[in-house]
Amino acid sequence: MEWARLIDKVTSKSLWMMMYCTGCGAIEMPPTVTSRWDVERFGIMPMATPRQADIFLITGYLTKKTLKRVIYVYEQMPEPKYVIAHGSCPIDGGIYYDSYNTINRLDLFIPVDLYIQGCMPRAEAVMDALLKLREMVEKGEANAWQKYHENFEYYDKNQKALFGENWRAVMTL
Amino acid sequence: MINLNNFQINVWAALSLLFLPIYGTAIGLLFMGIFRRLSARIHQRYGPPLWQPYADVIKLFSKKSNFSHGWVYDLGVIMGLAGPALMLWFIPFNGLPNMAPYGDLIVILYTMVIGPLGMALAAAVGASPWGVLGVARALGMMFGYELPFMLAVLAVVAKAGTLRLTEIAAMQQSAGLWNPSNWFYALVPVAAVAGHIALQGVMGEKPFDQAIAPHEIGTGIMTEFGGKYLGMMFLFAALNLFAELALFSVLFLGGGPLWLVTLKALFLYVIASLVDITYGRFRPDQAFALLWKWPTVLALIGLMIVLFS
Amino acid sequence: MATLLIVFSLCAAAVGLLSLVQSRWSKLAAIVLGLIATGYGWLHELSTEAESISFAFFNSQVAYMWTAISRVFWPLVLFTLTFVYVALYEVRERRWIESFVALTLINALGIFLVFTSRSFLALFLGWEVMSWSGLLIVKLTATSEKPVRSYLAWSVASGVLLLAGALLMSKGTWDLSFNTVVNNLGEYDVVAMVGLALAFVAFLIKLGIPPFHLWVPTTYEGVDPMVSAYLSGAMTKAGVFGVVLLVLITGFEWFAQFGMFRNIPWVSFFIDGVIIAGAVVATIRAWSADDASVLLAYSSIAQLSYVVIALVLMKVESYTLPAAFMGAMLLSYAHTLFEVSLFIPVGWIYHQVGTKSIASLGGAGHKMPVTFMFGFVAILSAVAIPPLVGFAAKFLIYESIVEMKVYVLSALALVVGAGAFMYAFRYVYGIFWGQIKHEYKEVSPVGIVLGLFSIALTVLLGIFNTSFQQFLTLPLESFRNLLTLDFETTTSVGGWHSAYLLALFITAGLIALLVWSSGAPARWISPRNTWYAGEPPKPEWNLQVSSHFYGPFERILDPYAEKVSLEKWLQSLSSFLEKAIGDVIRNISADLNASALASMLLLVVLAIVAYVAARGGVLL
Ligand code: SF4
Repeated sequence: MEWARLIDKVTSKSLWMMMYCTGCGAIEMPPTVTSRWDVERFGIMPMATPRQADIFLITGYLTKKTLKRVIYVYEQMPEPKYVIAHGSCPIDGGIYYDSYNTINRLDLFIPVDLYIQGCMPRAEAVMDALLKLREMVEKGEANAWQKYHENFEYYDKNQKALFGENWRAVMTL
Repeated sequence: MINLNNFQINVWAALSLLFLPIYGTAIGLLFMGIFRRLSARIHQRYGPPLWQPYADVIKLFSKKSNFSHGWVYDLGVIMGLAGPALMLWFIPFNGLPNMAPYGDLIVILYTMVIGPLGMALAAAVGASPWGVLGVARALGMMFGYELPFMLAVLAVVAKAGTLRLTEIAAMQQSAGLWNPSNWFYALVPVAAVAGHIALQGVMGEKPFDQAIAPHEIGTGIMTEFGGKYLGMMFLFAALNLFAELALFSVLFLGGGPLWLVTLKALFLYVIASLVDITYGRFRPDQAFALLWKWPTVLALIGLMIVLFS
Repeated sequence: MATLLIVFSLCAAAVGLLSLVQSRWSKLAAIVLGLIATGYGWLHELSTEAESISFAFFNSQVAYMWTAISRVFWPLVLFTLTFVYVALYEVRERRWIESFVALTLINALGIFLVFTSRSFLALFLGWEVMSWSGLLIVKLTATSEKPVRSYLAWSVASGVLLLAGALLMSKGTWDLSFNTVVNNLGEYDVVAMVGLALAFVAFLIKLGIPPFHLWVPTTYEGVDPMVSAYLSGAMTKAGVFGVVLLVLITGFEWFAQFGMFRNIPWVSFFIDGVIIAGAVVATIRAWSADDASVLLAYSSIAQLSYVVIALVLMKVESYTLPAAFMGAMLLSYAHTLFEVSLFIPVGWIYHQVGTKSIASLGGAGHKMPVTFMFGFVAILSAVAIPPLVGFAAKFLIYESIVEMKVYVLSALALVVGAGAFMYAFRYVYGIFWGQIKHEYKEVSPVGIVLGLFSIALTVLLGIFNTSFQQFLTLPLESFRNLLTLDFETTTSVGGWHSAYLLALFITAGLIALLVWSSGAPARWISPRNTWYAGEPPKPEWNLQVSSHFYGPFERILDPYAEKVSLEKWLQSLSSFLEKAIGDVIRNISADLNASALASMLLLVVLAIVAYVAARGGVLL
């Protein structure tokens, strides 16, 4: 148990992000990672591929088309993995709540650790969320990824309801 | 014939040999931390603490799920980490037992490739095109920097008249450990400068970092590496970094005991980092052309100076 | 010796007759007969008596003698035969196996005659047997006329040059024994020297050394990889023998008479300069090749360049053998081992999926991991990863070049060595890894025994490379003297210890294994489960990077390579040769088949044996 705590403590000092950037929120990323706010001083770095990442930052609205990719990428990330929903869109649809093609709630499809409210949230808010996540990881509270195992039927049902029964056929590799 | 009398099982020697790759990895990771800090300062940021790479590696190895493309993928990664450790054992450090008498420069130059080759194999097993593009670039760049680097190294060999690193190191220290007048950087300066430029390519620092070009081809070889595999990759990169810098220090900067070589390596690495941070990445063909032009001409001139003086 | 000739010819004839049957059993019988003949060849390898056959032809002595040098060269052919015959068992081909076995036996016989020859006329006879049976081997599986014509043109050129060279070296006296030639050359007779140059070119053509290499890729591209395996494993070694012979006849001292530059003869400088430039170009061509056989052909060219480079610089000072010679011999062995082990997997895959174009291959290793290891260890040996046999050989060659203080050449040789990694990776990735192509889902694993045997041989020969050096230096009296447990190779500039290196490699591997296993166990996922900017790869997507693999580097190097390699000029020479020679002889050879040739050659050999026996010149 002690060992696990120690690992959690170290892990919280090194969190790498994969950023999903087709929503508006992408514009807040440059100030967050470059010299304005410099998240790297907390050991948080943007990474290029899901295999290397710990945090999945969903920066904005999701459509039916992009959600598939998000789920696919999420499943490619090694565990433990943390999802941050950034902005109103992934929380409740935001200003696109009545669009024919956007997804209103991300957490129906994959488990989410943290939500950043706002349209759009500023870099300070992103920093705040990242530090909060850091704290949660250190305390061993950021366990949403386990829900994906435990409640897979629930997520799978929602995914199937949206994309149709056979949507995973594309992903049979 | 194996003579059992000569076969002294020296526990201290064996332990220090085992210690060497651990030390090399630790120093390599520290160098990476220094690099990140340095680049942050040049970007006017604070940057991560120096121990950041250690935390990264521990995190990567503590990942609870890992993905592998099969046993050849695992084999490649293991071979990748074994390569630089093997190379490090053949580099002589004063006062430390080493295997340098049992393998000369040619052996080192070829063990140097085992690690990258293993990683390349791992990258090839999956179907990801990015990994393979990274390998293609890395191997192409190797063909590029090898020409000036080999010419520079051969200038040293020509001056020293031997391929044995122990003798090369001893020759440079003949005027004293701290006296640089016999260092090959001073004796064959033109070739050494060419070798130094090529070293930037050997280490894969900008402007020669086409192989891991994060915004072009994923991260090249590392694209499909996650969890402990990426951890292995980091350890490999750290150890390889130290081994290459140590080799260059022993060849051109006089070698010495482990701590001194480490300091020399740090000196070399800080210079390389400053170049890395200030330069952009060249296109592969530009970088290749650059390497086959100026450093090669310089190295040839340096070699000629050695041969005709 | 005569027994060996008879065994080989009889087996060849028997197999040639079997080729009329063409069933599964005849194939098996052919392979078994071939292996029996090869087995006898191995037995013969153990004999230490200096047997000889000789007879006079006009005033020229045709003499064959089993000497130390033939003993050193002969296993190269035997290794190739053994490997190829065993590999043929896995080939589900009905039409040409028996003919191929028969023809390779005859070809091996020709090479045997070359290796044992004691005069240039004897060498020429063996050379012709080899070349013409080689033609039929090439013709057997050729998909078009091109490879046959190219092979024919260059091998006729090689034969003519050899004969002309030999005649000139004898100053037209038909006295072609090596001693006379040495005497003639010792007088620095211009005619003899022209002859020497011609003979040298003849051997370079067989070796496929640039700028006389054009037939190699063309031929290998058009024939079955199994045939290429044989040609590159065995037939090139006749060229190596020729070069060794000429270098021993002339030698460093002889070259030195033409002027020296920094203690190196100008002649050696010139030859090595041309060859290393050719090796660089061949390396570049190898990595941009699309056909796996062409890739391997160019790799073979680049590797054999080392042999010639080392031999031309070789300085025989005392009766200890120089590193250059050991390196050249060891590289010949390594080359035979790895080229055969590289061509055979290509052959197996070719026979399962019907193509050897790298653009349409890929992913075979997921289905046949042992076959992959077979090729992988071979390619590691080819790129000289220590402590494999390829490294042991290259090491000696590099050391010998550094010993001669030719530093620019050694740097270039090391660069060619670095270029080898590029085609090696193309071979590994392009054929074995990446995604599994849908057409190739049915590929089944083959060749476990042969693969393991090849891997073991590559590693063991590398570790026991000192024993191999003993094999070159010591007369073969008993095997006990041969096997030495001193693993250290030392030259005047450096050295290495193969056993320590292996031990360290294993230790490093174990440390890495320990580190690797400290993480959580990994789940094995499909190779297509990759990151593609979020998109799951669709089945119809081609993720394989298969053409223009080294695109940027090709773009920048190809224009120069074209200039250096004189390709246009060589192409026109090649087509001229093909026109001049090809048309005439193609018509003659069109109707020859293996069994006819086998019986014919059997008659010829029996006639020669009878003739020699009648003259009482038999020394069995
Ligand atoms: S929350 Fe606002 S800013 Fe963010 S994606 Fe939605 S609409 Fe754009």
